[in-house]
Amino acid sequence: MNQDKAIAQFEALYHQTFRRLSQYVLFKVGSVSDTEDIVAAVYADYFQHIVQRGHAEPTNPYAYLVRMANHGLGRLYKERQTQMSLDDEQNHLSETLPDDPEAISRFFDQIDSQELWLGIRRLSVAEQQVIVAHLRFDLTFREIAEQLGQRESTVKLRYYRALDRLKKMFT
Amino acid sequence: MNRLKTVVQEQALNEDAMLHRIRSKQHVIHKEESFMSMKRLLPIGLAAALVIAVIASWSFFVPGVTAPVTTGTAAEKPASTPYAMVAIDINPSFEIYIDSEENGYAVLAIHATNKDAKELYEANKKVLDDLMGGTKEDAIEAIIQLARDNDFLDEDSSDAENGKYVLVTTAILDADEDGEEDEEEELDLEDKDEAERNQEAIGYQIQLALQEALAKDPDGTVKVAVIKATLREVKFAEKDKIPLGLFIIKGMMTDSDGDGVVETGEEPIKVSDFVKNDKNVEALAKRAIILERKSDRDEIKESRKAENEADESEEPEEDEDSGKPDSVPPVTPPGQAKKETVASGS
Repeated sequence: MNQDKAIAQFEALYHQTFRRLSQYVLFKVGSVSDTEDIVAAVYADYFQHIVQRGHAEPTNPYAYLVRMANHGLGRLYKERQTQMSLDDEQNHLSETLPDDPEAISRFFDQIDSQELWLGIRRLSVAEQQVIVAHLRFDLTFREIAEQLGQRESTVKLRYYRALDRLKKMFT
Repeated sequence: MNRLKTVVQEQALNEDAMLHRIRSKQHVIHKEESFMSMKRLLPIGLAAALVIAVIASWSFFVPGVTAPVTTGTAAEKPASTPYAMVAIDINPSFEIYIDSEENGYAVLAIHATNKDAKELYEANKKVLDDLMGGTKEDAIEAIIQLARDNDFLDEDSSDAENGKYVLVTTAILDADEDGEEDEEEELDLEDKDEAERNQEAIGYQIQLALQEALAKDPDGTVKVAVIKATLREVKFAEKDKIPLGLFIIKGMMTDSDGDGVVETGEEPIKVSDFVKNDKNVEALAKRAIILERKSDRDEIKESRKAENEADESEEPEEDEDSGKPDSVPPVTPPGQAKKETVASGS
């Protein structure tokens, strides 16, 4: 296959599948940086496979990418020797949601973007996961809860608790 | 759209940025593979090419910067003009030359800039050469780890109460994007803005990587000062033959004995000596972003003890982040001497 054509084909597949694959990995590992590492490695391997080595595109490219991502996840689990698990948010169900969620969002408008992102990276993995799922992928709390096998109220509480912790970093 | 959402959309799993990185990385790999096939086909030609490359690397010249002080190898020789430089001063002192944004800020060359660095480089040539073409973050982490493994970051090596410091200084070497030759003072506004943005971005990427590295620091006692340098400072440091970070802190030194004279001396000051003076540390905090991890070992031990007790009494599935650092070190923004700390596992 012509290399330019292969690159164009790769990029089309990349844009077509990136969001879905990223969400898949994010809900498996939780950590945003681990998700980025695994997703980047999957596409880099696929790029080499298709573009540089000239192999034919698999019949179902997305299934192929997911298999590769699962290999990455397997390696990560092995390295950590731990099971990715749910958090103990159930213990905090007595907490209440903020009176004015919009006020918290408005507060962040005054913070420098880079400082804000550094702050997000200081949150727990589970908190980063729900923030990225909700704000990056525009998933509703119900959709996130379904992916995580948790209650919608739990996810919602975790999200607002994360924003509250983030706010405290800047006050 | 509010800023929080904008930040997350730009920084988390950025689709375009990742594609760019993948393509840049593959470009480097592809070049290496082409090189290997040439080796198989033309062994004699390769031998000649290697001889030329070695000779050329000895005379490698970075615009605005003197020839490197390392022993040259083909692997060290940059494939193109470096766009930026990241200087690491612990002692030892290293300079990492990196490519432009289009090429993913890939590492082009690593130079040892003092005696200890040269010895470390010689003893760990393979490790450092393997960083070529990779990311600057990996290179910085590897150098800090090498320094740690070789006892340069031992507690005894810095008996200052203010702790052990690593200086990470960034500088844009080739800000002239439009290709027209102009001095730093005469750079087009567009070039200057672009260079400043890129320097911010490089510094920011480094901060993130360092924060994660520090979070894994078993001792939790190392602090990293991330400094932005100007091209003018790079040139003056070069002229004085002083590693960039040490040149900058030399300029920050305060009158320690109150006699009205700042004793800077002829030789560059060591980072460990510099931070022994509280006023120097304050001056550093005004210019640099200080990254650190909580150093109170007793408190860390207490946290670990509490975690262990919790683990014993709870089901393993309830430990949401076991095996992973769930917090990264805090940041002290430039201009604030405040040093927040966050305990591991908090």
